Amino acid sequence: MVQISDDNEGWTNKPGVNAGDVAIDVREFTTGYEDRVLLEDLNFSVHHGEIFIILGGSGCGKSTLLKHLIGLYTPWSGSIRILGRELTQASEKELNEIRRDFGVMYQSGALFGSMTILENVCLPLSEWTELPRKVINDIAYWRLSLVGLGEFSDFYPSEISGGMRKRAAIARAMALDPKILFLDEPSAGLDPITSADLDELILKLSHQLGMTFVVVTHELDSVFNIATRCIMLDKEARGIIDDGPPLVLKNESTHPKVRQFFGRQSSSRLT
Amino acid sequence: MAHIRLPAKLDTDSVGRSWDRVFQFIKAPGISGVELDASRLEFCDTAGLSFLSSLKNQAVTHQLPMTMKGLSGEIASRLSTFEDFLATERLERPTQPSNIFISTGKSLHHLAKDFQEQIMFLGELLLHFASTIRNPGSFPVSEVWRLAEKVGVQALGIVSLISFLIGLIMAFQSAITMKLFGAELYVADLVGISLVRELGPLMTAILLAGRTGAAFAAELGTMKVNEEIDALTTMGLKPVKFLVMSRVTATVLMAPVLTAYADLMGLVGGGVVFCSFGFPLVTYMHELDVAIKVVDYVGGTAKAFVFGFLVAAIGCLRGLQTRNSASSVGESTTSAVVSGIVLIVVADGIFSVVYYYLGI
Repeated sequence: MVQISDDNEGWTNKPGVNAGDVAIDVREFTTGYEDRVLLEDLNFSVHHGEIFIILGGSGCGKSTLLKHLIGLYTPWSGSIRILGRELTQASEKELNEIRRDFGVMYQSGALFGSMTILENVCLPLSEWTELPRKVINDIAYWRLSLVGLGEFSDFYPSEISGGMRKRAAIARAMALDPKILFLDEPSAGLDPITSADLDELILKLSHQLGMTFVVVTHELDSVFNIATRCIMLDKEARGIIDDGPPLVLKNESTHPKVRQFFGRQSSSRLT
Repeated sequence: MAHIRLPAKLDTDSVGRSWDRVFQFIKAPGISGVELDASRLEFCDTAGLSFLSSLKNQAVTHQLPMTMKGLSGEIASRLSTFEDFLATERLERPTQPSNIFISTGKSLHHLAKDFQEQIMFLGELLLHFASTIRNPGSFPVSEVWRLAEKVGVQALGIVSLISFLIGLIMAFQSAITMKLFGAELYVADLVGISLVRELGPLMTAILLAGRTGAAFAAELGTMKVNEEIDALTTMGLKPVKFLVMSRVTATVLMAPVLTAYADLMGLVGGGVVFCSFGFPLVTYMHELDVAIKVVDYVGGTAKAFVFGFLVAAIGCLRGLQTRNSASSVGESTTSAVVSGIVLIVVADGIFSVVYYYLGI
């Protein structure tokens, strides 16, 4: 008789994942650059299974907020809890453990140019697991097939298109079966068809794998296609000015900047 | 019978730690079958699916009957999808046949193409210089000054150190042999002539290749990756005229100045050793005055001009040849240094032959 243990040092308190549970909890979050406050006293939660969109104009702090959520920046004050574990006070070791539970797709894809896209996807698996090489290759190849790039696994990032690079970056972000995927401007620089394909992929992954998505985007079409909930940040308010499903924000928000954003109006028309 | 009890969570951690143990266990002698208890299993990630699938395959391979109990419908369905995926034929990029003839042919073709590009680049550069002579107002003087400071002034430290040490080492090394013939006095002549004619220009050019050529390749390569070169082209500006001419001019102007400075520092290094043998400084100066002719200095300076041109031009060319990735910038930088040094040595060889026939 052999029994496989699931007790793993540092992971015994890893919470279960059920739809509706809080995946990310941000409380009294304040940050900025040098002596300039960018975001002040932010409070919001993201629930499991949601496709959560962070909206806002240029310079309002969307990408900065994302970088705090993935532990690259430390806030001035406040707390960020990812799957119940505090990110802001975590040591480097704890931070790496927390990071194993989420994947990140950067705006440019950030694939390593010296590796094929299969090797890019294999990288986190070979660094973080003790699985045999063949199994790692199978998993990576499956991930690439899920995003429709199975036949391009031996290509280098410079040999594929921008949209394919983004899909490959999603496959790499999913390598370790994360519970949460952070996507920074997934549709930026893509044509409408590729952008719609990417939206379809996000929806497919959300439904099939039950992942939680946190997406920073400006693309209104994408927002309406995929979002279950949005928050809208504003530079002057230095925080969230509205929160809710995209159609509710579009049709019912009373905040002039939200109406302007969803109505695609220029600043000069804002009264 | 091998009984395997799965945990509540079958993920990359638990699977990775247990993989070898489980597979060795089922291969042990006397095992007649595998019984998998998945009644506790609640969570199974892709590594877990891979584990279950591999276990089933191993059982089939070793002709062991396998039973699986308590597997939830959701995990069983995902396992089935995963197994279907593994069963599909993997699409691989068609590989082209390769043998020594094909690879040699490709290398030769690559070399010929590179040589052709170098000639075309040189031609374009010279044409732009010619058009600038006709229209001097278009020459970017302020940019050349800025670059000259980077190429020349900021390199003084490393040139001082290397040249001083070269002079010092040469004096010491030659003194050992000279002493046998009682000719230590001629250490000054040897150091002076070899520095001014050969080592001064050569060492300065190699330093320029490592410092300036690499910097130009990296800078232009990054601009290529960031599409800045494309932006210049679409604005109707020639990258060679806009980016390369100023860099080449600054390097060509600074290389002889740096070489003169390197000669001086090398002579100081040699002088320190010479004086340490008990000779007065005036003897050293007198020997240098007798040994070094104006033509030696002119010959060395001519080399410095050419070396400077080669280093800057090849650095810029490699930068412009960069493809669209970060690793390509690294390749361009390496190639700029390697090609630069090769060209310097080849040009130096040509200079030696020419000087020999000219009697210089």
